[in-house]
Amino acid sequence: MNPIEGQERWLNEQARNGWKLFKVGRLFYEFKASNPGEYQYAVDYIGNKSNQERIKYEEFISEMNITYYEKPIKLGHFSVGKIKYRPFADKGGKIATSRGMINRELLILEKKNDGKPFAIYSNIADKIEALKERRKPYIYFIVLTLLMGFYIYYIRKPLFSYTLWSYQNDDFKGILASGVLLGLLSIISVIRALQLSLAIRGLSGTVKTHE
Amino acid sequence: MGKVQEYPLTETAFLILLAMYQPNHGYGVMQFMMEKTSGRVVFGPGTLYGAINNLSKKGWIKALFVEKNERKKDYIITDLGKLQVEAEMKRLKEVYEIGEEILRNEGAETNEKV
Repeated sequence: MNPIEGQERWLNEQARNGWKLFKVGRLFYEFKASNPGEYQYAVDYIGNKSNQERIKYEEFISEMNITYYEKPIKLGHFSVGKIKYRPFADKGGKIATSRGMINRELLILEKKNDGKPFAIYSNIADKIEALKERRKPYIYFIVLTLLMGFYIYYIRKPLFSYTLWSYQNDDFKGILASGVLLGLLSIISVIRALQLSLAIRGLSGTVKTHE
Repeated sequence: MGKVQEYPLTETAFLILLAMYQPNHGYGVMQFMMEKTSGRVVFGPGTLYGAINNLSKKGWIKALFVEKNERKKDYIITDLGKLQVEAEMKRLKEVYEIGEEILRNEGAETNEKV
């Protein structure tokens, strides 16, 4: 669950220590000094939203007196030039163009601390829905990895070849390297998908009796 | 217009509909909840956004004309929405009365034992 819950915990810890978010980039956060515990943070996944949906959502967030920061995560999408293909997204969100959607998969929300936990989704059905949306890219990536794995296995050709150090056409090394790389990436995806599934299962028991 | 579902409304939908008997926007709905439930009900922004869109799609609330300088979008409940609220009130009353009756009898029995 880490990319979101981990970030949330970390940001709230910074806030408790008197640091307010100021600017968020691809790989960095900038903080400004503030009163300890003055702000609280929550992180939302918006990678499934179309550009138009995202803008509408951000407008609404502003109306609620909540500050937001956009942040990229990288997972399960192809980039071709300035277009990203996200097969797991909602209608209208599948093809991401650099204008609005690429690198805006996470939304960090910030508001004044009112002493109550800052939850983006406040009923169980919504929480489950949000977790399912987050699980989609991982599942998609796992399927893709399996397909590539089969391709490598049956065609016996590597996905890429080393121009740097493979002087002779050493297909076997390439196959091995592709396999190991895909394997590592898919293990992370499997773990994340499982974590999310467990969280969904935990909530599904409650949704039968509670809202 | 007999479009009332046999299923109970969620508390989220019911409370938002009530908050929109007066023209209201997301932040206003939030304040309404805080005040009426003494802070018990706090809607997350994601939940509130989804619920308002959903109610609007169903035609139970409708967006009011937004003036250029006014950033906040106001909504108001429609006749169809009021129908849902009335049906829900009836259901809640029935359920509440059953609960009250049972608890009253339960209380009487306990007193007898003592």
